[in-house]
Amino acid sequence: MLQVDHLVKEFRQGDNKITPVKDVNFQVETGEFAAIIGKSGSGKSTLLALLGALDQPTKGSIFVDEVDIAKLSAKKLTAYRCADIGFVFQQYNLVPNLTAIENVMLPMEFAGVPKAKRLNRAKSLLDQVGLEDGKQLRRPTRLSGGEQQRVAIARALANKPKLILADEPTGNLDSQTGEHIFGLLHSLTRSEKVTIVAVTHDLSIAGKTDKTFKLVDGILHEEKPQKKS
Amino acid sequence: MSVVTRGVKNAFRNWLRSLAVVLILSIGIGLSMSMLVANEAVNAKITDLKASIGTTLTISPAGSQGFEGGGEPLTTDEMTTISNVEHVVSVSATSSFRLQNEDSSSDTSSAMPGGMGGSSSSTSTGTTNLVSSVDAGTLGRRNNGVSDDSTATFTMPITGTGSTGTDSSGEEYNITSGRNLTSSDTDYVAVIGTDLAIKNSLSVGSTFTAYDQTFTVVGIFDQGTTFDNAGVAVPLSVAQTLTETTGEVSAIIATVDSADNVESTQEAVQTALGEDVADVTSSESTVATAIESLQGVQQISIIAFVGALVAAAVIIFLIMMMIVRERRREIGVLKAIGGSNVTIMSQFIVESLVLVFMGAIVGLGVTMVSSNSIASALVSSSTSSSSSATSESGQPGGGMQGGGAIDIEGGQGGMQGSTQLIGQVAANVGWKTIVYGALAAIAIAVVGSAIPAWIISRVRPAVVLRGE
Ligand SMILES: Nc1ncnc2c1ncn2[C@@H]1O[C@H](COP(=O)(O)OP(=O)(O)OP(=O)(O)O)[C@@H](O)[C@H]1O
Ligand SMILES: [Mg+2]
Repeated sequence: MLQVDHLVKEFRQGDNKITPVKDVNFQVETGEFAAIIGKSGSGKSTLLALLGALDQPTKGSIFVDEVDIAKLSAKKLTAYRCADIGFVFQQYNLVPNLTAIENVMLPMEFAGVPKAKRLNRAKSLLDQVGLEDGKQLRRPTRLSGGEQQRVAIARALANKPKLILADEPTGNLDSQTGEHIFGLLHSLTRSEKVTIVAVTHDLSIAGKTDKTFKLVDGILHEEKPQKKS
Repeated sequence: MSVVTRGVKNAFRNWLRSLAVVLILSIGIGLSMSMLVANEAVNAKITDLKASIGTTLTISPAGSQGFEGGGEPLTTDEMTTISNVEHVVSVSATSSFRLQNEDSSSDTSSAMPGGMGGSSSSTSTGTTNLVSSVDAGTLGRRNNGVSDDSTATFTMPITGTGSTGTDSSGEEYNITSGRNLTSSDTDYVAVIGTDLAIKNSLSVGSTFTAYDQTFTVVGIFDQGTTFDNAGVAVPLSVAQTLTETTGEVSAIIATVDSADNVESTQEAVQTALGEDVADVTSSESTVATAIESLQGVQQISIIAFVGALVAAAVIIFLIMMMIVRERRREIGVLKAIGGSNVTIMSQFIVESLVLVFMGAIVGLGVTMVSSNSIASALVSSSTSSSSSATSESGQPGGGMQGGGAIDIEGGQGGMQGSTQLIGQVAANVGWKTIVYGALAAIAIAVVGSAIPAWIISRVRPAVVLRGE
């Protein structure tokens, strides 16, 4: 379960103060798929960075299964990112000189998983996301965007995280491929019992999620799907 | 895939840049290792030279130095005085005389003193059936006051030493056959130089005449120089009797217990004998010049070593800065998917180590090729001025024959200019250098990666959520 209370994030640039996250409160149950929508520059990525412990909040708390990650030490945060979080980015962000399978093995290496086990799991994850055998030993530059994003999803799942955070995972893909990737994420939520929070612009996707939130002026509002249109 | 394999792999990610970096590094590292090698070689040479200063003092009659001769001869009493000085472990003395071939033209002996001032008046000359192995040459004739047209039969005189087994510079005769002279020899026996032996077809057991006495050759020596090997040595007491200088010696060599005491003992002996009786010298001054210039070389090599190392460290630092900046986003990704600072830093340090080690290996090649010429170039350029100055004090060729034994002493000292003393600086790349080189390479890599590593630790993983 993910629960966020009175979350605030300020950026200071000289005398300027930007507060993209003013007072965010929300809750997502284990195994739910939540979407966050909002205008460009509304602070969606900023919020996701806070949830993924990529950045420190100015105020507030983020409970992941009863642990407030806003209060963790730097060392514990690294462990948290390693074990409990899986990231999927708009730009895929695979390590360019590693093969697809090596990219999937990387988080397991950080977690100290033995090599043989890493290889097996990476292989089965890539099979699961539908990357053909022949492409598993390719470097990212020789994979299409959709294929790279599949590898990225496999990598995000590598350490069996509690929470997957996706920042516009279909943003660089055509709508059909985007739908596939979205379907993949959706089915994984069910099969791996993992909570997903995805930022998206794609309203057709947003409509199919368990919950949809809209970030407006630094405050998160839950959208009721039935109220729509 | 581990931190190490990833680091190694990354080192070859941009192979063209890696190649350039490795080449530049190899020059820096190679140069610094060459300097290390040069430094070691020079160091060894300095130790050699210090050892060669030896522990001997030469005591000669006061005022007799140089070609002017003069002064009162030293006596055996002075030997006793010297042997009582602290730190003196042994004292040996030689007397000198010379032998002129009996068939040589008659005007030569009267002409000789004219050649070299009054010096020969203190040196007794006897006749012999031996022929000098030194070719008189133009210098020899000129210095001996013989005009070119009247010298059909002129031969160089032979240097004779009254000895107890050491030559006039205190060195033990290096006997190649037979035996050396000892202090108990009182018969008409002699040891002769190899060149003289060949010239006169003498071997151990042969006889020759000198001062109208028949001498038996008991040994043949090789002292290494044409000049020394043209000489003859007879027992000191025999020489003193023949030259009618009983109790007198022309040079005393005192051996000091350690090189460190040479200077103080030199002063002590001088004080014991008195300024007006004897001049006490050591080979220290000649060698000191050589050592001084070598120490200069040593300093240069240390500075160049450090300089080249710093340059290499700066290069790897700049390259690592460039790489870290370039891969800022990737560093963020590694952090976002659970990589710790230590893991990521290690990966980059491995990368820089790989670059530095490749540079070091190529650099080792550079060192092997260049160190010898660098070492000798450094030595010759910094010592040429001092060595030419020193060698001027020595007289080349047979001209030395004209003076007395004391002049010969001076001549020999001068001849050993610093260039000869320094000789060949043998530089070779040993294991020590390779180990030092490896340590230096690690140091370079670590120093060069320290700031980039710190930057890595400061990369905020949130960068991955920002656009390019
Ligand atoms: N590190 C930072 N320093 C200062 N300001 C920042 C920083 N990161 C983000 N911002 C600002 O915070 C605001 C929110 O940015 P954010 O990237 O979260 O928006 P977004 O909703 O993800 O937009 P988009 O849909 O275009 O990706 C922007 O005005 C941005 O300029
Ligand atoms: Mg964004």
